[in-house]
Amino acid sequence: MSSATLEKTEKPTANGIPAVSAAPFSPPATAPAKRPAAAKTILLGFDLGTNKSCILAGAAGSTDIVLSKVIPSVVGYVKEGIVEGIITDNATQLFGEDALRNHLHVNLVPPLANGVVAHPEAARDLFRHIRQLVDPSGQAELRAVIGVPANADASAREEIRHCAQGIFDRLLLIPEPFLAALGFRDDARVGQAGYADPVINSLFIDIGGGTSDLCLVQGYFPGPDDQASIPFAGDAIDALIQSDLDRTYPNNGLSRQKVRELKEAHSYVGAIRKPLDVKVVIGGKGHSLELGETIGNACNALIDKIYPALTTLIARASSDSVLALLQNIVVTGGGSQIKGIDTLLQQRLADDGFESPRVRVAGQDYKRYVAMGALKAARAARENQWQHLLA
Amino acid sequence: MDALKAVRERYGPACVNDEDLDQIFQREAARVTDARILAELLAPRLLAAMGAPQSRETRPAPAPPPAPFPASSPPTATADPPGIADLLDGMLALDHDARTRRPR
Repeated sequence: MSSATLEKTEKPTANGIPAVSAAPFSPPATAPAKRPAAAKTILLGFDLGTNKSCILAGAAGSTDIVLSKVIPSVVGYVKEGIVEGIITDNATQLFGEDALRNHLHVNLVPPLANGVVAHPEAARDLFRHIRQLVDPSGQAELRAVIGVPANADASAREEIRHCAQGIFDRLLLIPEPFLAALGFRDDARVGQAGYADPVINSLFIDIGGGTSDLCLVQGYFPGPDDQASIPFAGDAIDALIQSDLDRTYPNNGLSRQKVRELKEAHSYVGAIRKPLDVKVVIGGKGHSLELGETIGNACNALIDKIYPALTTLIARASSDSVLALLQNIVVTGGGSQIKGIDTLLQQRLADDGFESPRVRVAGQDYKRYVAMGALKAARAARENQWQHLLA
Repeated sequence: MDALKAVRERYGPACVNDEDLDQIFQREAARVTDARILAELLAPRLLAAMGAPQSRETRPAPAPPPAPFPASSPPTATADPPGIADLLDGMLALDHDARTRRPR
């Protein structure tokens, strides 16, 4: 497939948000202009997350990274009646941090829910925005490797392809935890004695906003039985916290965004920690809320959801590989920042009799591993592998 | 953790503040992250400058790609780790199998 960026032909609704059509999404009928034959090729590693997306881009044939960015996965459609000059350049659409910063003046639309496209037009607008960031000239051939949740079904994958058609020129969809293993891999140490290559034998737990994805990676591309995708992750924790807050502090008025910020600052698993006093501003006045039990219970619920999938995947490993596998369990994604998650999972495995388990978190770079793996895949993909697109 | 426990047992639990520890860990983690990113960017250039052989991922691919490994029989440990393109072949083979199995 080779196409230039299409002009948006759909008219906005009265509130500026593109209507979600009842009919299946179909790409625009106008034929796109072809890019110049001598156009350069840009490779894009794209972690398309429910709450945050990460993009890494570089020219084909080069190891340079020309763009590295984490973008909140949200499109803001400017409300009607906003005074000129309030929005920079009087833009009608804002993206990521710009959208969130101007949340009073826009209708925020998250393109994804639980890791899959929920609002196709917003997804296309977000893809166009990313295309513009990566290739301002609009002349380059843009090849994108996009991470998808483990076990994303055919319709979810097709929806992403539809949304990308006419915006990206080549596409590869690869499960996120596998990309996380690729990104986590230290290429300079591959093959060295003593280096545990995560692509050879590891189990990755990628806890995002919409889904928690687990993947057994053992030197071959993981099949459906080697992966598990659980629709319980950061957003579900936020919902539990907010529900408990509404029960214990009625009329608290805290937004979901504020609850998420509280979670990101104070999340932990394990024994309940009390008191955990957090200062918030409600109605202009400062209040101190005790959140130890609320946050602890919500985060511990995540462990209860993912632990059975973890032991199921461990059971799939051969007896020859399982001991080494148990030493190479990595938690990545936003959920890796929950304090104590590595210790707790490791302890539960040990308590259940697993031999010398070692669970570690991916570290401060957790936001980038899927995108890094995607960019590595983009650089390594053969020409014929890029042909795996819509028929 | 054992060292921290020993220090607290000897000098009292209040001798090491948890907030200070968190800040120290965050600072050191940020330094490690920066170093890792720099290494990631510089390693290929250093290899090229030293005239080292290209890695598996940057070598031109051989004409016939090897058969993808079936999920039911993972390979035993080999000297060479699988190339990314070979792993992608496996993925595409699985996708193809899934498409042909799906009712039309």
